[in-house]
Amino acid sequence: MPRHIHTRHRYEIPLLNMTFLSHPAKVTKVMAHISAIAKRHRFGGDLTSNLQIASAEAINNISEHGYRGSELGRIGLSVARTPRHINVYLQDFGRPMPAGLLQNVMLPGFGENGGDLPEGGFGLYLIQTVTSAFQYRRRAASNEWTLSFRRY
Amino acid sequence: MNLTSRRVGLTNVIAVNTQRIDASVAIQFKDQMREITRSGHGRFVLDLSPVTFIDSSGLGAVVGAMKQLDAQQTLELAGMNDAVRKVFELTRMNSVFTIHPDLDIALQSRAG
Repeated sequence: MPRHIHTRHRYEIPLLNMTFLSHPAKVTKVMAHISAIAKRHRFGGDLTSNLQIASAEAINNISEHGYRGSELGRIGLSVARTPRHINVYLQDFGRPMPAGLLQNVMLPGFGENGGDLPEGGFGLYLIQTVTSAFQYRRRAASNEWTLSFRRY
Repeated sequence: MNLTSRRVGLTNVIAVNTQRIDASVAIQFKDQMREITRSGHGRFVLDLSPVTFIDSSGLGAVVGAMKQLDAQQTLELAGMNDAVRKVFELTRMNSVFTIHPDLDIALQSRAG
């Protein structure tokens, strides 16, 4: 369990705490846990899909860039609820996000020619779009992500 | 992750036998799509109705599968659930595919 990440909301109630390896098969299982939480707490369709989309993209980003794909690393995940929000906290010990990457997150462009269509680069844009707030920070040797979603 | 293909009239219907098209299966998905579309001709409809979630890796694999087609082939999508449709819409990839509400409607359609 990630014990010391982020400043928690005063009225936060933990829903899920776990640590897992950044292997794609593990990530699929983690996403099943998140879906189960959403179902148990009756988050509703829109909140559930937003939570799934952003969490999956953040974990993919950590696995593919923070830990560079083949190198497995530990990822801490917490999900908590406040009166108004669901917060997802992620912590990893991989490489830092390149400076400036989050300053201007845009949807990859594409022309009318089908050959120009992007096959990647959607992840951060999706996270920014479906969260009500999204924070990343480097602290000591770890990366800390906070994804917030409005409940209502 | 397993894709199967069958011919219905003039359409090749590709069934997805998984609930998630994500980073763990994206490469496999694209490879299997290449195999299926290599041997078929004309119109392909990918039936996504069993799929409850797609991430950006899976989306990239679907886009990549379309880019693998030759000039005489088309790839259309059918049966997206709300969460899958949302990812296509947010990334505007819904504008580059012909999307049918379900497989029956796709098969009735003369598109492609």
